[in-house]
Formats: sequence, C-alpha cells, structure tokens
Amino acid sequence: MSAIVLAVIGLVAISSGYFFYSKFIAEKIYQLDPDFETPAHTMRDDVDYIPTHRIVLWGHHFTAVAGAAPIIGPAIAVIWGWLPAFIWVIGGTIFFAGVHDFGAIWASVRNRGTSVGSFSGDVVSPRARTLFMIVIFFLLLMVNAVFAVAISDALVASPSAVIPVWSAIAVAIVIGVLIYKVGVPILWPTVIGTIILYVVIYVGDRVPVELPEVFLGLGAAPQWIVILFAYALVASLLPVWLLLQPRDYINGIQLIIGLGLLFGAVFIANPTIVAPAFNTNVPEGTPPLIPLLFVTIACGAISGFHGLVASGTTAKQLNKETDARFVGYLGSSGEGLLALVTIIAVTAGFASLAEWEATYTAFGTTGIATFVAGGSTIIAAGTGLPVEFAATLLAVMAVLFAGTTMDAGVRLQRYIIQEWGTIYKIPTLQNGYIATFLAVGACLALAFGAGGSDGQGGMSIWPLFGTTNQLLAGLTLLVISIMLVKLRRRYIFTLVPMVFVTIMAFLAALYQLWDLFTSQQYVLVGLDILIVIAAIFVLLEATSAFFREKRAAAAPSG
Amino acid sequence: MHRLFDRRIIFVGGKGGVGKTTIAGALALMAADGGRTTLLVSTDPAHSLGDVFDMPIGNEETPLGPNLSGLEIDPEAEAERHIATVKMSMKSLVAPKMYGAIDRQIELARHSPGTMEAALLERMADLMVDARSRFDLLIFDTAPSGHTIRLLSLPELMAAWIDGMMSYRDRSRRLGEVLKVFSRDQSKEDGFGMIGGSQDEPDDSRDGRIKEILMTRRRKFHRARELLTDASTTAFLLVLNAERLPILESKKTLDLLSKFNVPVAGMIVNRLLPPDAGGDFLRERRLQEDEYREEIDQTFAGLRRIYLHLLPHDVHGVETLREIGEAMAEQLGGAFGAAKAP
Amino acid sequence: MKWADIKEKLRWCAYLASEAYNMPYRSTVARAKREQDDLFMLLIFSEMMGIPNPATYYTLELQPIMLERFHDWHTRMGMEHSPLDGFRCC
Repeated sequence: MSAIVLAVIGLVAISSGYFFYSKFIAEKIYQLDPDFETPAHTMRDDVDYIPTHRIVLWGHHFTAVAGAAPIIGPAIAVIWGWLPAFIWVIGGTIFFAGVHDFGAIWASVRNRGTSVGSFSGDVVSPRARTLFMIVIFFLLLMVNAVFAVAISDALVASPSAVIPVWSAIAVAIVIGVLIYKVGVPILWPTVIGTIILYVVIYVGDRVPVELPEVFLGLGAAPQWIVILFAYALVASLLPVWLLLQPRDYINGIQLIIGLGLLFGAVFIANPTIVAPAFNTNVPEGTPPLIPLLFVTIACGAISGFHGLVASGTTAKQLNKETDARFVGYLGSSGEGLLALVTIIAVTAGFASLAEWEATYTAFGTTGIATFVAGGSTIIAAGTGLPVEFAATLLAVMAVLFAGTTMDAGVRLQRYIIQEWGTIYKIPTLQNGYIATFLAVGACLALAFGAGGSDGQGGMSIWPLFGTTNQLLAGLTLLVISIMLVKLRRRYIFTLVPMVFVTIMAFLAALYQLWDLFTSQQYVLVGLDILIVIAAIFVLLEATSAFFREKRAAAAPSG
Repeated sequence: MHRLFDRRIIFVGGKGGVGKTTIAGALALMAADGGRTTLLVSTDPAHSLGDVFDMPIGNEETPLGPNLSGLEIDPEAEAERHIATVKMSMKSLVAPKMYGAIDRQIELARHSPGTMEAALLERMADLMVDARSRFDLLIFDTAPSGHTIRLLSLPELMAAWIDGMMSYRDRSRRLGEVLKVFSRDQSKEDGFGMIGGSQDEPDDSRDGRIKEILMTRRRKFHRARELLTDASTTAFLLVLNAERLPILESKKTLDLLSKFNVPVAGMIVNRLLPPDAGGDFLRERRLQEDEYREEIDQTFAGLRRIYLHLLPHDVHGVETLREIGEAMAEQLGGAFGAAKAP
Repeated sequence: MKWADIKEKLRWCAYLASEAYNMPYRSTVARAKREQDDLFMLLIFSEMMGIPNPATYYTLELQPIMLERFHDWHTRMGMEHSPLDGFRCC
C-alpha cells in the first residue's frame, strides 16, 4: 500500500485531534480560563517564573521532548507489523499523549507551577511524593544509559556520521561564542551555521571514521559509550552559553528541516510499504504484541517523561492558561508526527518484503540505523539528494537528539544527587563535580551491566525504560484525575488512558521480569523489581486518594 | 630593642597588674622629651592612663605635655557611632513607623560578643594609618594579654572573611553579566506583549556600593596587618614581673605573637625588689625572685631584657615617670635611637 | 506586500529566534546567581536571625543596602513572615 495513504491519514487524524478533541478537553474538562493569572505572572521572579510567548514555549517544549525515542521506539515496534504501531501512535497521540502533556501543564499551573512530583504530595500524599521521586530518578538513569547505547550503536553503524556529529559540536561552540562574546545577532550565525553543518555532512560521507575493533578490552560500541559519557560530563561543566545553548538551538533547526525533508519526500516519492500490516511471521523470541507494543513505543504515543518537562519548566513560563493547549497538545502532536514518519521510513524504505525481513531478524536489533537506512532511501527517491548524504543527515539528526537528552538527563541526575546530599547531610555529594561523576558512573554501570563488556545487550534496557516511562505517565494521569474529581468534573477522559497505560505497563513489567531473569540480566531484574514496587505503592496511595475524593465530592455539601 | 624609637608604633603588653601603663607612660615621655611627637593610646577598658598622668584623658586626643598627647579609646562610643550610622542609612529606606523596629533590631548587634573588639580594632586601625602623619610615634598601652592577642589577630582573620564575602559577590556579578547578555534583546520587544525583566539598574548600583564598602574594609584590614607585622615599623614590648604566673603567661603570649608574626622587640622585667631593701622577710623574697630571674634569663634568652626596680613611692605624675624612663635609658644606652627627630 | 510588512515579519522572526535561543538558559543562570545572592544575604543577616556571627560589626554596615531585597529573600526561603521580631517588612 502507498505510504502517502498512511501519511495523509495520520496528518488528518492528528490535526483533527488538535482542532476538535483538544478544544473539547480544553473547554469542557480542564476549562481553561484566559483570564486566570498563571504562576508566571503571580509568582514572577524573572528566574524560573517568566511569562513567555507561546510559540517560543512550544518550540522549547517540543525540542525538549522530541528526542531519539520517537525514532527508536517505532523502529523496533514495526516488527509486529505496521498496523499495530500506526494505530497506537495515532490513537495514543490524539487521546493519550495530548491529554497527558496538556493536563500536566494545566495541573501544574493550577498548583503554583510546581512539578508533578512535588504537587503529588498535595494532591495525593507526602509519601507518594517520595516514591514518585524515586521512580523519576530511575527513569533518568535508564534514559541516559539506553541513549548512550543507542548512539554508540548508531555511530558504529554509520561511520560517515562520526565527523559530522562532532563537527556539529564544534559549529555549536563557534555559534555560541559569536552570539555571546562577539554579540552577533541571532539570524546570521543560524543561517551560516546550518549551511556549514550540511556541508560537513556532505563531506563526512567521504571520511568515515571507525574506532578500532578492540581497545583496552572494549569493542567499538563500548568505546563510543565511554566517549559519550565523557562528553556528557564535560558538556555539563562548561558554561552553558558555550556549548549547550547553541547546540539545543541547532537541534531544533535540524528537527524542523529533517521532518520537512522526510514528509516532503514521502509525498513526492510515494514509496510502497513493503512490511506486512500485521506480521504473522514474527521472528523467534519476539515478545508478545500485547503488552510490549505499548512500552516499546512510549514517546510518540504517550510518555511520562514529558510530564516532567511540562510541569517542570513549561508550566512556570505559561503566559495565559489557554496557551497550555497550544504548547502541550501541539507539542505531543509534533512528536507523534515524528513517530509516524519513522514508521513510514522503516516500512516503506525497503525495496521488498524479503529485504525488510532480512533486517527485522530479532526484536531489539533495529533502531536508529534502520531509520537512517529506510529514511535515506525515501529522501533520495523523493528529492534526488544522494542517498549517502541523506543517510548521514538523518544519522546526525538522531544522534544529536539523543545526545541532548543525554546531557540534560545527566544534569538532572546531578541536581537530584546534590539534593540528596543536602537532605541527608553528606557534604561530598553536594559538590558539583562529584555529583556529576556519580551520575555518569551510575549510568555507565547500567549501560555496561546490562550489555556486558561488548555492549551488545544494552538495548535490552529499552523496554524497561518504556515501562517506567508509562508507569510515570499513568501516575501523572491519576493525579490529574484526582484533581478533576476534586473540581467535580468529568474525569473519564484522563482515567481511561490511565487505566489502559498502567495495566499495559504492569503486564509488560511482569513479562520482562521473567524475560530478563531467564536471560540472566540480573541487574535489570533488580531495577525492574524496585521500580514496580515503588509504582505499586504510589498507585495504592493514589487510588485510595481517588476514592476518598470521590466520596468527598459526592457527599452533599454544607 | 635596637633603636626602639625609630619605630613608628610600639605596643606595650603583658599580664594585668605588671605595670604596663607606667612603662608605656615612661616611654612616651622619653620619646617626647627626645623631640618625637608622641601619641599615647590606651586600649585597656580599665583605663589607668589618666590616673598615671594625673589628668583626665578622654576619647579625644588630649595634650599631656610638649610633644605628647594621650587618648583613652572608648569602644562603646566607637560602637555607638558605627551603629548610629547604620541606623541612619536604614531609616532612610523605610517609612517612619518602622523606625522603632529598626532601633530595636540594631540594638541587638551592640551586645554581640565581637562588637566591642571590632570597634576597638577599628579605632586602632584608623589611628595606625591616619595618626602617623601627625605623630612620629604611637605607643599603645594594651589590655591584658588575652584581649590583645585576639585583637592583633583580628586583621588577619577578618581579611580572610572579607575575601570570602568578596568572592561570593564576584561570582554573583559574573553570573549577572551572563544574564545580561541573555536578556539583551528582550527589552526591545514589548510590542509582542512580553515585558522584559528590568531589575538591572538598581542591582548594578547596589552591587557597586557593596563592593565599595567591602573593598574599603579590606584595604583597612590589610593595611593594619601589614603595619603590625612589619619589624621596621612596629615593636611589641612585653612587660612582666619576676613571679610565676606572669612568666608562664609571657611564654604563651610570645608564642602567639610569633604565630601572628608580630615583631617582639624585648621584655621589661618590672617591680624587682631593690637590692638594698633590708630585712629577713625581703631577703627570703629576694632569693625566690632570683630564681625567677634565672628562669627568665634562660627562657627568654633570645630577647633583650631591661630590669626595673620598685620605686619607694607610687608612680604618679610626670616626674616619677621620668625617673623610670631614666632607669630604662641607663640599661640600653643609645638603643632608644636618636634623641632628636630627624 | 509592503517592504514595511516584510521588515516587521523579519523583526518578529528575529525576536522568536532570539527568545528561542536565550529563554531556556536564562533561567539556569538567573537561578545560579540568585543562589549566590541568597547565601550572601544569609551571611549578612545571620546575627539578626539568631545565628551568632563574629563579624557582626562588619555585616552591620552592609545591612541597609541589602534591606530592599530582604522581603523577597525571606519569602523565597520559605518563611511567610519576616523572621525578625523587631523588623516586620510584611
């Protein structure tokens, strides 16, 4: 079947979702009030609380959440066929992710702009808050580890991307210096920097770089993992204007260009989807579709991680309450689009079914590389650009996204460790350098502990990451539902997604417990158990709070 | 004690009751007689300077004779002045109904343990720096040892504190610069409905004033410390009696002084029994005293020592001080430096 | 389309781009600066809060300058009312 059909259905569905469903939720359920004074105004301190233009906020929210996950997830999940993945991505984006991200912003705005973890203490109970924080910490741990593995795999698979990726860092530094130190206004460095980047991408193809196969007992991929964490360490310690700030900016630009190219190419080239709608011929060892589909694709359908970003920073900068719909819903819609185009890339970017099956030989072996291979074929067919150029472009895009998430994650973890140092009075933990080392060390330990010294098994963290992500999403939705109960509004639109996602996540967690145990990944088994226990406790607390509030709301007032 | 009066600042210290004030007075008189304009300052809260000179001396420079002025520092008055300045600044910033609250709050600071010492040090430091232009020599009659040691160590300690405070300001200022660059384009765009933050102006001037105050203080501390540890400018004279406790205390004092690099010029062993005082009782006492003198000579072998005997009468007034001065001059010959100011 | 309109559009784009560039990190730096300032504030007013400070004589002369920010500061520290019995700014 033609990929355009999928693209059109997806685009129409998601747009309708924004125009109709989100409007309904905004007016009837969350009841956004354009005159409500948001914390950005009432608590304005020009540090965290500053009203910001909604387009800028959307851009920031979108680039913060759109990472490599909407690429990796679908790239793995189409092993079950394109239809399940497609339905979950579209349906999830419209009815789950939109409501979740949107709701997290709204809930936070109505709670003085505090993050979901914090106000769960007020809405549910203080104990719930502690447990929430624990889940969040583990989530961050896994994000860093798994992205490091994903990036290093990608760099090994695409040696031509190595130089462009690191040149992008160099370009970012130059832009940073120009804008900050020299004072050049933004537009020119943007344009020139982007051009230089794409020139380097073109050149990088001629100069592929491969790390030695074995160095100090590590294979090529593990070597990259170490280098990446060293980079994350340095990046978080340099002044922000030098590297992080311009790099985030370049990422945003790349995202827009990449998406544009891909969708444009799809419409021009009209590739055929060769993968089956429903794969009856799944390779041995592939986990069951239900529940694993729902945790393999998290970002792009619904992701708890976004709730952190949404309530953490976005809510504090919301200018008008009505902006929440634009920023939150449209933000997750954008991500859904990225997931959609990935599905198309990894199912229509192959010449034949046989070729597709030759790539999808086992669960979890596909990822960024597959996206790059499929996507570049489509771009080449649609725009006439050389296929190697397109491949390098996509690889650079995906790697840089993952890199941004990684060092943001390392920084967040460092803050958490430093906070523990203050709460439990351990002075060494409060030191920035030590905390960063610990954060990086823990992630490295997980990356290697899961994958072994050859790093091959690293991607086995992915489903666990998805599970934790969804559990967090479920918890957030439950907290939002409790708020709605207190306000005596209909909560079914948040409760149904919550129940669905939580059940799936639990089933997936149980399945993985067995799966990881039998494949002797004891480290991950331990992690799994810890997360599940914490999540159960929060669920119990939240559920009892839910019914308590229901009874209170139902009781006659006065 | 080589060329003692060539120094600009002399501290006379020792345990309580050993005769510091008398010695200080005698030295001051000698210097003044020799042509050096001298200021004699008492930092002892239990001022006895006025008693020794038989004149009332207050918190302002009081002439005691040709080339000689006296001063009894009143730390309370100093603290009061400091606090009054602070109160006034604060009151200029708030509504009148808050004045009472400010008064009450600032009063608490007056009774804080370090306040008196700090006020004392302030006046001393000012004298050490300013009075030098008007006087050839400053002689400080200090409080009993412990206080003095703490006082002399304050500049170093407080310099460290100031440096710490300034580093916080520095860090804040640097971050503020970064922030300014990040907000460069904000203020231009009110047309789009967003108003940029405008805290820059008041912050800058406030930061400037804070820095100014800290820098002034820092300079004062550093200058005081420099002077205190410079052997060509400053000398510390330790006064003791040939008794057990003063000897022990002097040892401790010397250790502390060397730790803080305060140059010690010598010791004055005061109130020795006159050799011709008669009677069995006094003979016994003199034997014991000789033991102590032995001990002093051994323990403080490296230091120049002067021995002074008890006078048959109270030290009271300028004439008796001159007697003591002559006794000291005898033992050192020209060690007190040129008789006339250059 | 008039040249003025185009210029206006460009100016708007430049504004968005500039905000997109600066906004995320403005907060980070502003927060770090505020923490330094808060620490300084605490050191200056520590005696008033009951924490003995040997350098009180010297912090005293800095207090008037820091007074303006005192109210914001104690609110941020989580104290709803001024911690000083004598001095009620709110």
